[in-house]
Amino acid sequence: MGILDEYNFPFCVTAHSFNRDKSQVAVCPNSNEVHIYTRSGAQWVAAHVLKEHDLLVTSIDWAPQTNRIVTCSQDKNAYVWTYDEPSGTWKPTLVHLRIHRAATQAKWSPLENKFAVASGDKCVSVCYFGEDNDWWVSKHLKRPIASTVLCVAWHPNNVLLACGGTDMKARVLSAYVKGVDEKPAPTSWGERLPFNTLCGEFESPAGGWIHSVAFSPDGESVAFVTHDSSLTVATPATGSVVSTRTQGLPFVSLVWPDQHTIVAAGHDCSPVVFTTDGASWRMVKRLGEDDMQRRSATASPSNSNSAFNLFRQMDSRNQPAKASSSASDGQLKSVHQNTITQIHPDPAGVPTEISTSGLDGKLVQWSVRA
Amino acid sequence: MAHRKLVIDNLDAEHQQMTEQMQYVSTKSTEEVVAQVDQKAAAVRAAITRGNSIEALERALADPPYGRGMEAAQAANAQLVSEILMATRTQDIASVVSNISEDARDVLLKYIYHGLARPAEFNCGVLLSWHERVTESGGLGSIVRVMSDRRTV
Repeated sequence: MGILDEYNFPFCVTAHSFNRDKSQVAVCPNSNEVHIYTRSGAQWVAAHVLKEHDLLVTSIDWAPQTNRIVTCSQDKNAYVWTYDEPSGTWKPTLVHLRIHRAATQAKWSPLENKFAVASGDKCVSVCYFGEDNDWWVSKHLKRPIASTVLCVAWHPNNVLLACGGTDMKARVLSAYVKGVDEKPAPTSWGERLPFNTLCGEFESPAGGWIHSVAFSPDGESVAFVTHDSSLTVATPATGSVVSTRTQGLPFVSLVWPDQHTIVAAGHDCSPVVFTTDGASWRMVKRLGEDDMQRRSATASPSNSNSAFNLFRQMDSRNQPAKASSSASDGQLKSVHQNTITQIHPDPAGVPTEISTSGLDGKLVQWSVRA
Repeated sequence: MAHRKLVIDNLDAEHQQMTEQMQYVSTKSTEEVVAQVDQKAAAVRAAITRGNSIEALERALADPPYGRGMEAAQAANAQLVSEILMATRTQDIASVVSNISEDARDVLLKYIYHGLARPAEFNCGVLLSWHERVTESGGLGSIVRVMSDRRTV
């Protein structure tokens, strides 16, 4: 377990997405632009700036197979970017979203022939390429969504879509598009799945906005993190809905890279690994915290003072030392020094590797091998 | 803030509709809930007399009255919880908190904040010492859960 790579950008990274071989990364520097960086040794070198949106870009997703990028923004638009070899530039295609509020998250489906865009317009736009008009068109998932949708996630079968938002409910809906999808095989979510079929609706114990959802790799379960600092996993086949409450601040993003591992990250600055014993999920590790201790112990000899400071503090305040979350120099023990904005699975599908980006400007690649 | 008496959000029809939609509505009738709290009270007070704060808390915090129109039952239940908190000795607080269920612990924190918001009716000193122990075992997560839960007590 540990850090594979760590890079510090001079700006907040509000969204990121790698290409398939991780030689390039698209990041949003908390603005209306998307920057593409190319790997050069240990450095990331700026290569392209995708400038078409008018307002803050809320989400970036780079399709690993087809090498297309979808971006969406608060300006109510989404663009699909394709790389034009001869001119060496990224060309945008506007998507016909038909929404009147900000778009919040965009995600390619597993087959990369569709993508879903969540929005503040109480709907999810399911977008596909309309061959007739040579243009990305969309169908809206509206019922029974009651408020802003903050997150979406695709089922491995390319048809079912999980979404969650500020109406405190995570839902699984069918995003079957006639003419684009083949009829899906029956699953535990349902047998007949016409567009907008509601296959499940779940809540966390104390409510709260749903910040992120993910399907399990086998598609049998759905997990979501909410603003009540909990992780909830629902499995329709067994009817079980189990929640794990955590002690820390809420998570804003999660990935489910292999059947027995969920990694969630958010306001607490460390990615947290959960594992299951078959019935419930429990927290096993906060990624990177012991690494940093080891690193700072070897890197800075001046740290010998921290023990002295600790004892002096205990003496002057007459109280036992508590394990505090911050080290003495004002640095957090975690690798990220601020909220983690996004956590991504490996683009090539390696189940033990994930990447995180944060408001501290860091882009970190992790190994979650047990 | 005396000049800001008007809640402008109330003038917005859409807002009103949204608030009603998002509010928690109990499936039980007011009378049922009041009767349930009354019924609970006897068992809880018996547990307090035996000095069993854990059992008393588990009972008082199970299925608390939530939602609109339950004000009487809510006040009665808050009073009941407060009686337990008062009756527990300071040195026992930590062990009581670590022995109640996670669910009960989060609900207990709701009642602690309910009490702290009404300093004339509750003993805030005692509530603060409970607050310290509850947040020690539940962390910031417990506080966030109370804030995000629309089922208020």
